[in-house]
Amino acid sequence: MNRLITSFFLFLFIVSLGCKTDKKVSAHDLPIKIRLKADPQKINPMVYPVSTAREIYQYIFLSLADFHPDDLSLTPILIEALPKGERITEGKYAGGTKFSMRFLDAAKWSDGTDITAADYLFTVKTANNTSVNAAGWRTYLKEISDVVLYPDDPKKFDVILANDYMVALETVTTINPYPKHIYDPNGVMDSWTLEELKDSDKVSERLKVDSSILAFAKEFNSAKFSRDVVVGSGPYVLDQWEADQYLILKRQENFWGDAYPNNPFLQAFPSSLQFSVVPDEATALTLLKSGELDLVPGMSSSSFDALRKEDESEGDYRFLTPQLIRYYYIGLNNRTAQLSDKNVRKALAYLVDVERIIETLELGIGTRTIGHFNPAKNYYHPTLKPVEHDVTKAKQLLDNSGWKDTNDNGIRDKMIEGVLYELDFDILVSASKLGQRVSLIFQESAKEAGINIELVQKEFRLIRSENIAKRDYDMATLVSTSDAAPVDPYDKWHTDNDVIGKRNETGFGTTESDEIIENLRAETNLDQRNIYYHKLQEIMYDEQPVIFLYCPKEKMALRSSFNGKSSSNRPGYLANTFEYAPVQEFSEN
Amino acid sequence: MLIIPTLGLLAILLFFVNHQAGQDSVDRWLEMEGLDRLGDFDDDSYYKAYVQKYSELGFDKPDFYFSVAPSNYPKTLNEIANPEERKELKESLCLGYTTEEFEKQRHLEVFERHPPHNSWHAPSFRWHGVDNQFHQWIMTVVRFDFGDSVLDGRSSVKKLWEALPWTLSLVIFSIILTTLIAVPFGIWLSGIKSAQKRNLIKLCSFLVYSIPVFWLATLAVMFMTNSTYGEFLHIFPSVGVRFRESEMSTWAYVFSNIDRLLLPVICMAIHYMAFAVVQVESTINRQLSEHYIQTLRMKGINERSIRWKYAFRNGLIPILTMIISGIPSALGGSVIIEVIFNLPGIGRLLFSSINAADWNVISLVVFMIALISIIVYFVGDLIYTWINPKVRFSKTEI
Repeated sequence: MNRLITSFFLFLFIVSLGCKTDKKVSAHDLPIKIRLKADPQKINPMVYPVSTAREIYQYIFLSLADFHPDDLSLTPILIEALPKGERITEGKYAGGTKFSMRFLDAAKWSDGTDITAADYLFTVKTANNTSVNAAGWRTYLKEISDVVLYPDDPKKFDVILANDYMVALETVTTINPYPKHIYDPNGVMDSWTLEELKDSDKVSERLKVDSSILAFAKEFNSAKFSRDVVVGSGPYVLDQWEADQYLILKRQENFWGDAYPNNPFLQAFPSSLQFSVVPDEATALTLLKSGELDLVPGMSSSSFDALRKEDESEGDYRFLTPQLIRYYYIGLNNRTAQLSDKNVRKALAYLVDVERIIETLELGIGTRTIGHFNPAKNYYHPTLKPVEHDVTKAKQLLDNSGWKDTNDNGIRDKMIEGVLYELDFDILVSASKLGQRVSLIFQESAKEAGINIELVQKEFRLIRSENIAKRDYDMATLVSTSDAAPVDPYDKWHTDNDVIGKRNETGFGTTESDEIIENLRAETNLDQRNIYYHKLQEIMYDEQPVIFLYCPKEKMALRSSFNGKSSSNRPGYLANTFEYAPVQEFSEN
Repeated sequence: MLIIPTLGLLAILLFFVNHQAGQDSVDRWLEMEGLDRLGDFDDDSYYKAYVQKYSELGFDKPDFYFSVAPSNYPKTLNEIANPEERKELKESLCLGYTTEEFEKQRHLEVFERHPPHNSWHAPSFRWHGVDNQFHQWIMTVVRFDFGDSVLDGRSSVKKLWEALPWTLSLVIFSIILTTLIAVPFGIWLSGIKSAQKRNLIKLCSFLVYSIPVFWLATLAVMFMTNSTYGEFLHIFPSVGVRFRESEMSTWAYVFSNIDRLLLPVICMAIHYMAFAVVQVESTINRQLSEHYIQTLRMKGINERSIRWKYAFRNGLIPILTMIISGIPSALGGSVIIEVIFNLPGIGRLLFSSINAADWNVISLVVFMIALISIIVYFVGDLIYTWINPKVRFSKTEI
């Protein structure tokens, strides 16, 4: 018994060693502590342009221009002004378009050297080096034919595109330039022209005598330039990085951007940005409550709602819900006999109670959408209303189209060219709980109208590669994500891409819609382009090629002692704008 | 001696599981470079990038040293980068077409093609030599170089070495804590004369054992690491680890966070402790029913000495077996604790690697856990021989 008592006190002693030893956070500490769901792995926008990494590198690697958090307008950052596209009438690139730009005189890299046009050229060349793991950038920049430097002005340059297209301005200005003297100190890429790099035969020929770009690419792809050497033009520099634990970005002393206090991308209020990798949401919320975190983005609806209710009387947090440029939808294969009927698709749209979905699954935090384009964009149709849940209208449409239950099995059917087709569908859902719940609500409602829907669960990657890509599906719960740039509907909605392997996965398209898309892409006048956007939305509204559900909102909790900008652009916030301030009225974007 | 064949078999198994995983690794690599199969890029661009990456990753080589296939098959189907084309060719080959016949008729629909009269082809053995995917992979295993992580390009081994101290600390401390508490408690329990009392305590142990670790850990984090539910409950420091001071070695860094390891260690230990108490009690009771114990009692030796000096010593081997087998189980079970307590150990590394299909790291971690388990059991065997000289390795074992 004595031993037992001794063991017990020994245990208490051990426990007391672990008693809370955390320092209290001083009110005058100005770093902001942010939760990351996963480690960014690499900080190199060209090689690893994924969203988890973007959350970090956007403060280190600035682009020439970016989308303003307030209104998503393209705003110059490193350059003096947004360029206007000029038609080239003569010379090698006759018929093409030229964008002339100049870097700000003040713009510098974090080591103090000037940002020059040579850095931009180096960046474009590196992206076109096929040995660099930059397949995404390479394809994105494929329309850039040349970058012309001015010997008498190292900051000035022209970007030449052989063909103009609707997002050309965004393409040439939203890339993140790299400092050539850091990433290519030996000048390996200097001996290659952009034209050479884009020609695979020339590359193969030259590699027989000069393989230096292979060594350059290997180093560029390596951990050295993704973790150890990270040099950009932004207000913050990488200070510490413990893999899978935390990253600290420290504010640059004497940052050149301090001369532009009104540019949100150049602000740097927190002395440091301390990102903690916390995969588990419950743990993240505990850290928020204990003061170890100040900002928790990407919360689930239930946690967000619970915390909001808990905080009603305390006012410890601000709850931010910026509109994301994303929408959820139920994809329909318009090529099947049943779904090629517009009335069936419209009936299905009437059967989905989207309001109920938003209320129950997102706890009211979401925005209905009528089509492919985000409500936050200025070309979203101003008058079309989202399709209301109406089982009676759905039944009527089906009746009018000849879909009746002729064999009394509870499922509507119709004879088409001698074959009896039933409104019996499989809906593919991934492991996502949201997709499953949406499908269940849809299934329940569809049954009322004599439509049978069975859920088939499958891994999302396989849904895309085995079913969507091969057009072997009836329906699927999907999500479409884009960015703030004007959306080019050609890939997804033009009949040119209604082939296996291309992106028109629904089979949507009419002669009229194709023509509108072609005109839209070629139109440089923004007002006229918006008219085309509206017309396209009207056609899509009438056709209902997919069931458009809603646009989700980002859900974040921010300690109320901070005040700053949220944004529709990923990741939904700009941590460099978060200023330590007393609790006051905060208006969201 | 069985260690090497065991590890060899494990290596083969890991290779083929990796190979047969449902995801296309090439798609995965390209996705990380920003190129998505159904993204904003046309099919030609994606296909070019796919073929290049496929070849870079060595997937165009044969799978193994040899293969057995019907004689109409080409040397290896892996030479065809496009998975759709490869699948189509394979289907045709199964029907008895040769590759040349497939090429001539591929523009036709399947029902339009003419099957050859003689569509049976004898199986043939093909030797591929060392230029195959498995050989390349096994050479990396032999050199203990599992390649770079697909996620961040760092060496998989380096990532493992950074994570291992955290998990080893958790496991070792939890085993020590379990032993320090469960063993005396179990021995004490065996001394309780009242059967009702003893059974009640054992029942409580079973109840504690049946509490899921993740639930216990989550509750501990919610209630005991912050003051939300009362200052009196805020006994332990916050979860996660502190920032590292410069020039600190990994082990020094681990020990500087020793206070933050305490609650995770307790959560891990409690579960195993409940089981261990009952096992120790049962082992001691079994010993106490032996004849030599009666002899000792007749000699007048007191009960406490009988339990500690004789019954415990003679029951040490099964107790030791239980403790040793807890180590591999704790290694595997550390995933939950590390995710909830936000500790950067190999459990969390495995968790994030599985989510990202980072097979190089997954293979290494699984291999390492297996290796540690084998070493632990081997050390256990050695300890048995030391404790009980009567236990010896037989010739067949060696």
